[in-house]
Amino acid sequence: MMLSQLGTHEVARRLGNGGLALRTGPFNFRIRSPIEAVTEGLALLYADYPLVDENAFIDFTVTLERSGGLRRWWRPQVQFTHDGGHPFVPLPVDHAFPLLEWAMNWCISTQAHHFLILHAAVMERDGGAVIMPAPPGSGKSTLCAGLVSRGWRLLSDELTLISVADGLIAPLARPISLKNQSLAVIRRFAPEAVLNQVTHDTSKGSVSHMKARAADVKRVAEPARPRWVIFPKYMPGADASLTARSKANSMLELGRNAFNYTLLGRTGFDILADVIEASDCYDFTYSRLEQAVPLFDALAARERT
Amino acid sequence: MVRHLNALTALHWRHWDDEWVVFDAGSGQTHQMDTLTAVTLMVIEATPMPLADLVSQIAQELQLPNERELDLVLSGIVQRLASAGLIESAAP
Repeated sequence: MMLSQLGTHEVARRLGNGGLALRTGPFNFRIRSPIEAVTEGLALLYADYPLVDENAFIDFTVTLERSGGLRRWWRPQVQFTHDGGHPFVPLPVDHAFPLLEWAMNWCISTQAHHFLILHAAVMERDGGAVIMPAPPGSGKSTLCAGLVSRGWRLLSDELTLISVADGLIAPLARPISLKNQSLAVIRRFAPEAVLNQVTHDTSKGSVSHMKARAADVKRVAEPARPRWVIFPKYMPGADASLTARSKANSMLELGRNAFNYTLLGRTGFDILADVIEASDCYDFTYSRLEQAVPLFDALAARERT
Repeated sequence: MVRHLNALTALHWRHWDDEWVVFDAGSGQTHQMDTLTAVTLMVIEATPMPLADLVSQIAQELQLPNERELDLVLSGIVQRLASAGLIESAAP
């Protein structure tokens, strides 16, 4: 059963009572929250995600509640609770939906150590995945959204999950986080994209999330093999350009972008080295998606011939 | 002084053409190095030896003619490997 089959009223009822249990990629989440923005965001962006049976194992329970005390009345806040702890400071209550996304990412990146987890976007075409690690402001999520809106399959815009068991990349297919100028860029480049309400004045600026395509959510059980590692960099006015880069340096850079490389020790080293072994590595500069996407398409096309 | 591998290191190697990475399971650190540095470390890993012997062996294995120049280069490499905690020196 999909979340869309519940209707918004039932989504709100479950969130406010025992919790709404849904599956995103390899993880079952139980989400609890009486906050309307959470209901609205989930109903819009997670409509195509499967609900989880009541008796199923839940990997992570995420609770978002209004802070108590006087804060109920004066600049109300939302607090993320996980396993009885509060990993983040409370945020203004209108930041509830982005906080939910960040909280879900936090649960995965701090606990799912059966994956080597990279802070990187990852998309797939014809079975080959392109891993794009990059710091904030590099245009990673914008490029990811652009590629996905032109036929690349979304695996994740934020967390690349490489299975310790087989080295394949497990899809998460969660909504794509877009910020500030990238919102207008994507609205122009992909007018059909579904974005939720913009949250202003967050620590990352103005934030919205782009819905993953239903087809990508449906294929969430299909892993992909690493094929390219590309370090994107948005440069105003720059023509789109791919430049081959050192494999050894790319491996070290990927390691720096990993949440648990050190924790996994030798296993992490072997997995990352295998990723590099299987991948062509590039630096990529761009300023316009109209130029960027065809370059990526050309990479995939070269692979088919 | 004999150069030998730090007793706490356990090295695991990968390379692509002339680019090498080595994971030290003892420290959890990953290092990137060129072929000459990798060969130097591998020779020391296999057999502890003084710098002079190291220069001779590497010159022979890599068929490098100018041992004096190699001596200077390897001194620098050995110093960097020691700084990274991968090798140590001991009296013979």
